[in-house]
Amino acid sequence: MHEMSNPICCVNSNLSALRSQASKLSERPQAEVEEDIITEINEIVEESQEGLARVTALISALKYLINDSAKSALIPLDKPIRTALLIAKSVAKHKANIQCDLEITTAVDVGAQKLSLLLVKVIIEIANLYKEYGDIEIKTIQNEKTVDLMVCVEPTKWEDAFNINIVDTEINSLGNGVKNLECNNKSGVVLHLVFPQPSLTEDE
Amino acid sequence: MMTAQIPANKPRILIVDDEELFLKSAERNLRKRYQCSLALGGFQALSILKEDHDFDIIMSDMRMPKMSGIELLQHCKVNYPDIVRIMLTGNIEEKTKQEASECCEVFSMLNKPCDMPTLIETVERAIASRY
Repeated sequence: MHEMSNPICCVNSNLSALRSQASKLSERPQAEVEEDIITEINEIVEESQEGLARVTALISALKYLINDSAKSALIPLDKPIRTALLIAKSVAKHKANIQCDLEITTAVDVGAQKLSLLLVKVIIEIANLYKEYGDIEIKTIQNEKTVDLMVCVEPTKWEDAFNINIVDTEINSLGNGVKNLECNNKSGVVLHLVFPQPSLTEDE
Repeated sequence: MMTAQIPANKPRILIVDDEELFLKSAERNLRKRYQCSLALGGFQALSILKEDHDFDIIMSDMRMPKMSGIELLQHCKVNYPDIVRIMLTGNIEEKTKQEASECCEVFSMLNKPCDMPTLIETVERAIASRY
Protein backbone atom coordinates (compact mmCIF):
# COMPACT_ATOMS: atom_id res chain seq x y z
CA MET A 1 0.00 0.00 0.00
CA HIS A 2 1.27 3.42 -1.04
CA GLU A 3 1.21 5.07 2.38
CA MET A 4 3.30 2.33 3.95
CA SER A 5 6.09 2.98 1.45
CA ASN A 6 7.41 6.16 3.06
CA PRO A 7 7.73 4.89 6.63
CA ILE A 8 9.21 1.58 5.41
CA CYS A 9 11.61 3.52 3.21
CA CYS A 10 12.57 5.63 6.20
CA VAL A 11 13.21 2.60 8.42
CA ASN A 12 15.24 0.84 5.68
CA SER A 13 17.28 3.91 5.03
CA ASN A 14 17.82 4.65 8.71
CA LEU A 15 19.02 1.12 9.40
CA SER A 16 21.58 1.60 6.67
CA ALA A 17 22.80 4.82 8.31
CA LEU A 18 22.76 3.17 11.73
CA ARG A 19 24.95 0.33 10.47
CA SER A 20 27.44 2.85 9.15
CA GLN A 21 27.50 4.81 12.43
CA ALA A 22 27.83 1.62 14.48
CA SER A 23 30.82 0.61 12.41
CA LYS A 24 32.46 4.00 13.05
CA LEU A 25 31.83 3.58 16.77
CA SER A 26 33.38 0.13 16.87
CA GLU A 27 36.60 1.52 15.41
CA ARG A 28 37.11 4.07 18.19
CA PRO A 29 38.03 3.86 21.86
CA GLN A 30 34.93 4.48 23.96
CA ALA A 31 36.27 7.73 25.39
CA GLU A 32 36.55 9.20 21.91
CA VAL A 33 33.00 8.56 20.80
CA GLU A 34 31.81 11.82 19.34
CA GLU A 35 28.70 13.48 20.71
CA ASP A 36 27.28 14.07 17.24
CA ILE A 37 27.31 10.35 16.45
CA ILE A 38 25.34 9.61 19.61
CA THR A 39 22.88 12.41 18.74
CA GLU A 40 22.44 11.06 15.24
CA ILE A 41 21.89 7.52 16.46
CA ASN A 42 19.18 8.78 18.79
CA GLU A 43 17.51 10.65 15.90
CA ILE A 44 17.67 7.57 13.68
CA VAL A 45 16.04 5.40 16.34
CA GLU A 46 13.31 8.00 17.02
CA GLU A 47 12.47 8.44 13.33
CA SER A 48 12.45 4.70 12.77
CA GLN A 49 10.09 4.22 15.69
CA GLU A 50 7.81 6.90 14.22
CA GLY A 51 7.86 5.11 10.86
CA LEU A 52 7.05 1.76 12.43
CA ALA A 53 4.24 3.30 14.50
CA ARG A 54 2.65 4.61 11.28
CA VAL A 55 2.83 1.23 9.58
CA THR A 56 1.38 -0.43 12.70
CA ALA A 57 -1.56 2.03 12.75
CA LEU A 58 -2.29 1.36 9.08
CA ILE A 59 -2.17 -2.41 9.52
CA SER A 60 -4.53 -2.11 12.48
CA ALA A 61 -6.94 0.01 10.42
CA LEU A 62 -6.86 -2.47 7.55
CA LYS A 63 -7.57 -5.37 9.93
CA TYR A 64 -10.53 -3.40 11.31
CA LEU A 65 -11.89 -2.88 7.79
CA ILE A 66 -11.67 -6.51 6.74
CA ASN A 67 -13.32 -7.84 9.88
CA ASP A 68 -16.51 -8.84 8.09
CA SER A 69 -17.80 -10.78 11.09
CA ALA A 70 -18.48 -7.48 12.86
CA LYS A 71 -22.22 -6.87 13.35
CA SER A 72 -24.20 -3.81 14.25
CA ALA A 73 -23.65 -2.75 17.82
CA LEU A 74 -24.10 0.21 20.10
CA ILE A 75 -20.84 2.13 19.79
CA PRO A 76 -19.64 5.73 19.51
CA LEU A 77 -18.88 6.80 15.92
CA ASP A 78 -15.31 7.94 16.60
CA LYS A 79 -13.49 4.65 15.97
CA PRO A 80 -15.06 3.79 12.57
CA ILE A 81 -14.64 7.40 11.43
CA ARG A 82 -11.00 7.67 12.52
CA THR A 83 -10.23 4.31 10.91
CA ALA A 84 -11.78 5.47 7.64
CA LEU A 85 -9.84 8.73 7.81
CA LEU A 86 -6.53 6.97 8.26
CA ILE A 87 -7.09 4.80 5.18
CA ALA A 88 -8.65 7.54 3.05
CA LYS A 89 -5.83 9.97 3.84
CA SER A 90 -3.28 7.39 2.82
CA VAL A 91 -4.91 7.13 -0.61
CA ALA A 92 -6.05 10.69 -1.25
CA LYS A 93 -3.84 13.05 0.77
CA HIS A 94 -2.32 14.42 -2.41
CA LYS A 95 -5.80 15.45 -3.62
CA ALA A 96 -7.32 16.92 -0.47
CA ASN A 97 -6.71 17.91 3.11
CA ILE A 98 -8.94 15.43 4.95
CA GLN A 99 -9.84 16.33 8.51
CA CYS A 100 -12.48 15.72 11.14
CA ASP A 101 -14.41 17.68 13.70
CA LEU A 102 -15.97 15.08 15.98
CA GLU A 103 -18.19 15.98 18.90
CA ILE A 104 -18.37 13.64 21.87
CA THR A 105 -21.46 11.65 20.98
CA THR A 106 -23.56 8.95 22.61
CA ALA A 107 -23.28 5.38 21.31
CA VAL A 108 -25.50 4.57 18.36
CA ASP A 109 -26.55 1.42 16.53
CA VAL A 110 -24.03 1.03 13.72
CA GLY A 111 -22.19 -1.61 11.70
CA ALA A 112 -18.79 -0.10 12.35
CA GLN A 113 -16.91 -1.88 9.58
CA LYS A 114 -19.61 -1.10 6.98
CA LEU A 115 -19.62 2.56 7.99
CA SER A 116 -15.82 2.74 7.73
CA LEU A 117 -15.82 1.17 4.29
CA LEU A 118 -18.59 3.51 3.12
CA LEU A 119 -16.67 6.56 4.35
CA VAL A 120 -13.42 5.40 2.73
CA LYS A 121 -15.20 4.97 -0.60
CA VAL A 122 -17.03 8.31 -0.40
CA ILE A 123 -13.99 10.31 0.73
CA ILE A 124 -11.69 8.89 -1.95
CA GLU A 125 -14.25 9.42 -4.70
CA ILE A 126 -14.99 13.01 -3.73
CA ALA A 127 -11.29 13.82 -3.23
CA ASN A 128 -10.68 12.74 -6.81
CA LEU A 129 -13.34 15.21 -7.98
CA TYR A 130 -11.49 18.25 -6.67
CA LYS A 131 -10.26 20.42 -9.51
CA GLU A 132 -7.54 21.74 -7.21
CA TYR A 133 -6.29 20.80 -3.74
CA GLY A 134 -9.13 21.37 -1.26
CA ASP A 135 -10.60 20.42 2.10
CA ILE A 136 -12.83 17.51 3.06
CA GLU A 137 -14.27 17.55 6.57
CA ILE A 138 -16.07 14.81 8.46
CA LYS A 139 -18.28 16.16 11.26
CA THR A 140 -20.41 14.59 13.93
CA ILE A 141 -23.09 16.52 15.78
CA GLN A 142 -24.88 15.40 18.92
CA ASN A 143 -28.54 16.44 18.66
CA GLU A 144 -31.36 15.90 21.12
CA LYS A 145 -32.75 12.84 19.36
CA THR A 146 -30.06 11.91 16.87
CA VAL A 147 -26.37 11.81 16.14
CA ASP A 148 -25.59 13.29 12.72
CA LEU A 149 -22.58 12.45 10.60
CA MET A 150 -21.69 14.66 7.65
CA VAL A 151 -19.03 14.65 4.96
CA CYS A 152 -18.46 18.20 3.66
CA VAL A 153 -16.48 19.61 0.73
CA GLU A 154 -15.42 23.05 -0.49
CA PRO A 155 -18.15 23.61 -3.10
CA THR A 156 -16.29 26.16 -5.21
CA LYS A 157 -13.40 23.81 -5.93
CA TRP A 158 -15.60 20.88 -6.74
CA GLU A 159 -17.39 19.26 -9.65
CA ASP A 160 -21.11 20.05 -10.08
CA ALA A 161 -22.71 16.74 -9.23
CA PHE A 162 -22.14 13.03 -9.49
CA ASN A 163 -23.38 9.68 -8.28
CA ILE A 164 -21.50 7.18 -6.19
CA ASN A 165 -22.75 3.77 -7.03
CA ILE A 166 -23.34 2.16 -3.67
CA VAL A 167 -25.46 -0.94 -3.66
CA ASP A 168 -27.66 -1.13 -0.57
CA THR A 169 -25.16 -0.37 2.12
CA GLU A 170 -27.00 -0.99 5.38
CA ILE A 171 -25.00 0.56 8.11
CA ASN A 172 -27.09 -0.50 11.08
CA SER A 173 -29.60 -3.07 12.24
CA LEU A 174 -32.49 -0.63 11.69
CA GLY A 175 -31.98 -0.93 7.97
CA ASN A 176 -30.66 2.61 7.67
CA GLY A 177 -28.21 2.93 4.87
CA VAL A 178 -27.14 4.52 1.67
CA LYS A 179 -28.08 3.62 -1.87
CA ASN A 180 -26.77 5.23 -5.06
CA LEU A 181 -25.55 8.32 -3.28
CA GLU A 182 -26.08 11.49 -5.28
CA CYS A 183 -23.60 14.23 -4.43
CA ASN A 184 -23.75 17.86 -5.45
CA ASN A 185 -21.88 20.99 -4.61
CA LYS A 186 -24.80 23.25 -3.72
CA SER A 187 -24.64 22.80 0.04
CA GLY A 188 -21.16 21.42 0.37
CA VAL A 189 -22.58 18.45 2.31
CA VAL A 190 -22.13 15.34 0.18
CA LEU A 191 -23.17 12.75 2.74
CA HIS A 192 -25.47 13.21 5.73
CA LEU A 193 -26.27 10.20 7.89
CA VAL A 194 -28.67 10.42 10.82
CA PHE A 195 -28.42 7.86 13.61
CA PRO A 196 -31.35 7.72 16.04
CA GLN A 197 -30.40 7.47 19.69
CA PRO A 198 -31.11 3.94 20.96
CA SER A 199 -33.37 4.88 23.89
CA LEU A 200 -35.62 6.85 21.54
CA THR A 201 -35.76 3.97 19.06
CA GLU A 202 -36.86 1.56 21.78
CA ASP A 203 -39.67 3.91 22.86
CA GLU A 204 -41.06 3.90 19.35
CA MET B 1 15.40 24.56 2.84
CA MET B 2 17.80 22.34 4.73
CA THR B 3 21.31 21.92 3.36
CA ALA B 4 23.92 19.45 4.51
CA GLN B 5 27.26 20.94 5.61
CA ILE B 6 29.59 19.20 3.17
CA PRO B 7 32.18 20.33 0.64
CA ALA B 8 30.71 22.16 -2.34
CA ASN B 9 32.62 20.17 -4.97
CA LYS B 10 30.44 17.09 -4.51
CA PRO B 11 27.61 16.54 -6.98
CA ARG B 12 24.48 18.41 -5.94
CA ILE B 13 21.13 16.75 -5.51
CA LEU B 14 17.72 18.25 -4.72
CA ILE B 15 15.45 15.77 -2.93
CA VAL B 16 11.73 16.54 -2.91
CA ASP B 17 9.04 14.81 -0.88
CA ASP B 18 6.04 15.84 1.22
CA GLU B 19 7.32 13.63 4.03
CA GLU B 20 9.98 15.11 6.26
CA LEU B 21 10.71 11.64 7.61
CA PHE B 22 11.71 10.43 4.15
CA LEU B 23 13.76 13.55 3.37
CA LYS B 24 15.82 13.23 6.53
CA SER B 25 16.55 9.54 6.10
CA ALA B 26 17.47 9.92 2.40
CA GLU B 27 19.76 12.86 3.16
CA ARG B 28 21.43 10.94 5.96
CA ASN B 29 22.48 8.25 3.50
CA LEU B 30 23.36 10.42 0.53
CA ARG B 31 25.24 13.28 2.17
CA LYS B 32 28.58 11.45 2.31
CA ARG B 33 28.70 11.39 -1.47
CA TYR B 34 26.54 14.33 -2.50
CA GLN B 35 25.62 17.83 -1.43
CA CYS B 36 21.95 17.42 -0.58
CA SER B 37 19.26 20.08 -0.51
CA LEU B 38 15.82 19.13 0.73
CA ALA B 39 12.43 20.49 -0.31
CA LEU B 40 9.20 19.69 1.49
CA GLY B 41 6.93 19.62 -1.57
CA GLY B 42 6.86 20.94 -5.11
CA PHE B 43 6.42 24.64 -4.36
CA GLN B 44 9.40 24.69 -2.01
CA ALA B 45 11.45 22.92 -4.68
CA LEU B 46 10.50 25.57 -7.23
CA SER B 47 11.47 28.40 -4.92
CA ILE B 48 14.86 26.74 -4.28
CA LEU B 49 15.40 26.30 -8.03
CA LYS B 50 14.44 29.90 -8.70
CA GLU B 51 17.29 31.06 -6.45
CA ASP B 52 19.81 28.41 -7.43
CA HIS B 53 19.40 25.81 -10.16
CA ASP B 54 22.96 24.54 -10.22
CA PHE B 55 21.95 20.99 -9.32
CA ASP B 56 23.10 17.77 -10.96
CA ILE B 57 20.01 15.80 -10.01
CA ILE B 58 16.46 16.38 -8.83
CA MET B 59 14.80 13.40 -7.18
CA SER B 60 11.09 13.80 -6.44
CA ASP B 61 8.23 11.80 -5.04
CA MET B 62 5.34 11.44 -7.48
CA ARG B 63 2.28 11.87 -5.25
CA MET B 64 2.42 15.10 -3.29
CA PRO B 65 -0.30 17.58 -2.27
CA LYS B 66 -0.78 20.82 -4.22
CA MET B 67 1.94 20.09 -6.78
CA SER B 68 2.61 16.53 -7.93
CA GLY B 69 6.05 15.20 -8.78
CA ILE B 70 4.90 14.96 -12.39
CA GLU B 71 4.11 18.69 -12.53
CA LEU B 72 7.39 19.54 -10.82
CA LEU B 73 9.56 17.39 -13.08
CA GLN B 74 7.73 18.59 -16.19
CA HIS B 75 8.55 22.14 -15.12
CA CYS B 76 12.19 21.13 -14.62
CA LYS B 77 12.29 19.41 -18.00
CA VAL B 78 11.29 22.70 -19.65
CA ASN B 79 13.14 25.23 -17.48
CA TYR B 80 16.18 23.33 -16.21
CA PRO B 81 16.72 20.57 -18.77
CA ASP B 82 20.31 19.89 -17.65
CA ILE B 83 19.22 18.65 -14.25
CA VAL B 84 18.78 14.88 -14.39
CA ARG B 85 15.33 13.84 -13.19
CA ILE B 86 14.58 10.85 -10.98
CA MET B 87 11.06 10.00 -9.80
CA LEU B 88 10.23 7.98 -6.71
CA THR B 89 6.81 6.42 -6.35
CA GLY B 90 4.85 4.06 -4.17
CA ASN B 91 2.28 3.77 -6.95
CA ILE B 92 2.21 0.22 -8.18
CA GLU B 93 0.21 0.81 -11.37
CA GLU B 94 2.54 0.19 -14.28
CA LYS B 95 0.47 2.33 -16.65
CA THR B 96 0.62 5.37 -14.35
CA LYS B 97 4.34 4.92 -13.87
CA GLN B 98 4.92 4.57 -17.58
CA GLU B 99 2.93 7.73 -18.38
CA ALA B 100 4.71 9.74 -15.69
CA SER B 101 8.05 8.49 -16.85
CA GLU B 102 7.39 9.46 -20.45
CA CYS B 103 5.91 12.92 -19.89
CA CYS B 104 8.74 14.00 -17.57
CA GLU B 105 11.48 12.15 -19.45
CA VAL B 106 12.90 10.84 -16.20
CA PHE B 107 16.26 9.13 -16.06
CA SER B 108 14.83 6.54 -13.72
CA MET B 109 11.60 5.68 -11.96
CA LEU B 110 12.24 4.10 -8.57
CA ASN B 111 9.72 2.19 -6.50
CA LYS B 112 9.13 3.02 -2.87
CA PRO B 113 10.15 1.39 -0.63
CA CYS B 114 13.57 1.40 -2.21
CA ASP B 115 16.72 0.09 -0.56
CA MET B 116 19.70 2.39 -0.19
CA PRO B 117 22.15 0.49 -2.44
CA THR B 118 19.61 0.71 -5.30
CA LEU B 119 19.01 4.41 -4.67
CA ILE B 120 22.74 5.20 -4.54
CA GLU B 121 23.48 3.11 -7.61
CA THR B 122 20.74 4.94 -9.55
CA VAL B 123 22.03 8.35 -8.47
CA GLU B 124 25.58 7.34 -9.48
CA ARG B 125 24.37 6.31 -12.94
CA ALA B 126 22.38 9.53 -13.26
CA ILE B 127 25.45 11.62 -12.46
CA ALA B 128 27.57 9.61 -14.89
CA SER B 129 24.95 10.28 -17.59
CA ARG B 130 25.67 14.02 -17.35
CA TYR B 131 29.26 13.64 -18.45
